[in-house]
Amino acid sequence: MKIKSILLYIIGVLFLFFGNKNFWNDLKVEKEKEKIRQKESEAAKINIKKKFEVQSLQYDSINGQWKNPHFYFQLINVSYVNFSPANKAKKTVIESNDDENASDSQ
Amino acid sequence: MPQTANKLYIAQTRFIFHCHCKIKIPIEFSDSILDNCFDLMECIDKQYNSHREQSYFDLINRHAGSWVTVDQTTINLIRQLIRISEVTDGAYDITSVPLIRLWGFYDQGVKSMPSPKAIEEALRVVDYKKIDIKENQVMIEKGQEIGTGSFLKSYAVDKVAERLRENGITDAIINVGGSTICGINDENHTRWQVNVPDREEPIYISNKAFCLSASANNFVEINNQRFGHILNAKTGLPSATVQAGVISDSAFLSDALSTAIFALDQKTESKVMEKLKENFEFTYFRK
Repeated sequence: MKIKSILLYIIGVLFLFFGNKNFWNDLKVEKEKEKIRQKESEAAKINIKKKFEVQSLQYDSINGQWKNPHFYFQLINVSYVNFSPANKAKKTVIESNDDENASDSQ
Repeated sequence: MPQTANKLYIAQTRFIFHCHCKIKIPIEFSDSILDNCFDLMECIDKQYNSHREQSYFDLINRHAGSWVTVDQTTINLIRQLIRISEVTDGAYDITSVPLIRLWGFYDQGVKSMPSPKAIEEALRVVDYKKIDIKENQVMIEKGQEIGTGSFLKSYAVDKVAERLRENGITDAIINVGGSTICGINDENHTRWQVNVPDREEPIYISNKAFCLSASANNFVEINNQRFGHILNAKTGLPSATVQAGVISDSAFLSDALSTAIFALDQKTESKVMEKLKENFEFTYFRK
C-alpha cells in the first residue's frame, strides 16, 4: 500500500514536469536566446580588440630604454582653453605706420 | 615739421557698431587702456544703438506715440542732431529710418525702385520736428523711427578720445569702420595721414576728426542701377553725391555733417552750406 502511494506520487511529479508542454517550449526558447547572447558577446569582444592597434615595444639595451618604433598619439592635458568668439579676442598688434585708410564700408 | 620716424604703437581692432574699430596708441602704454576704451565703446553701443534691444533709442522707437524716459546723454544727442537737421533744412534727419528701409538698405531684399506714392508715404513720418522732448522724456510720433547709424559710432569715438587724453596719451588714432577717423597729436607727431579712396591727395588731421560719407561700397542695385545708402530726407531720393568728407574738432559733428552734406541736392547746396558754415566750424570736400 505504501509503495503504491509512493509510485503514484512519483508518477504525479513526472506528469507535472514532463506533461507541461509550455514549460519545455519556454525552456528551449530560453536556451536558444542564451546561445545568441553568448555569440553576440563574443563578437563584441572581437570587435573591441580590432579597434585597438597593438604596438610592440623594442628594448634599447644600450640606453636601457623601451622604444616604440610605431607612430603613436599621446594625450596632452592642455588645461583651460578659451573658446570664446573671435570678436571678443583681444589681439594687440604692433604697428609703426602713421597713416590710416578711410573707406565708406560702414 | 618734426616727425618721429618708425615710432611704435600698439593697436587693437574689434567688431563693434557693425564695423571694425581700431585704436592705436604709443607702445609705452599698457594695452589695458585699449581694453578700457573698447569696453567704453561696447557700453555706448549697448546703451544707445537703435538696433540693440532695450537701448534708449530702441525704447523710443518701440514706444512711438508714448513718452519714454531716457538719460541726459540721449537728450543731448537728440538736441544736437535736431540742430543739425534745422540748419540743413531737413536734408539730414535722424527719423529717416522708414525711408532707408523702403529703399532696402537694411535687408538688401528690395529689387525694384520704390514708387513715388510709397516714398511720399514714408516721407510723412520722416520729420525731426515731430520729436518731442520734455525734461528727461522723449516721444516720437507713431510710425516714426530714429536711426543711430549716422552719429553713434562717432559719438563713441569722441568719448574714447577723451578717455585716451585722460590717460595722458597725446599721440593716438581711432579708426571706426574707415569712415570715422580721429587723430590725437603732440609736438613729436604733429599729424596723421588719412588715405581717402578715389582721391589722389591724402588728408592730414591733427587733433581733429575726419568723417567720410560715400556710396562706393554702400548701395543697393535696382534694375542694374546703383543707389547710394544716404538719402535726402526731404526728397526721399538717394543723393547723386559720390563722396563727402568733413574735418572738425568732434567726430560726432563730422559724421553728422558729412552725412548731411552728402545728402544735399544741387538746388539747396549753396544755401545750406552757407548756413552750416555760420553755425559750425569745419572744413569739407564734396564731389
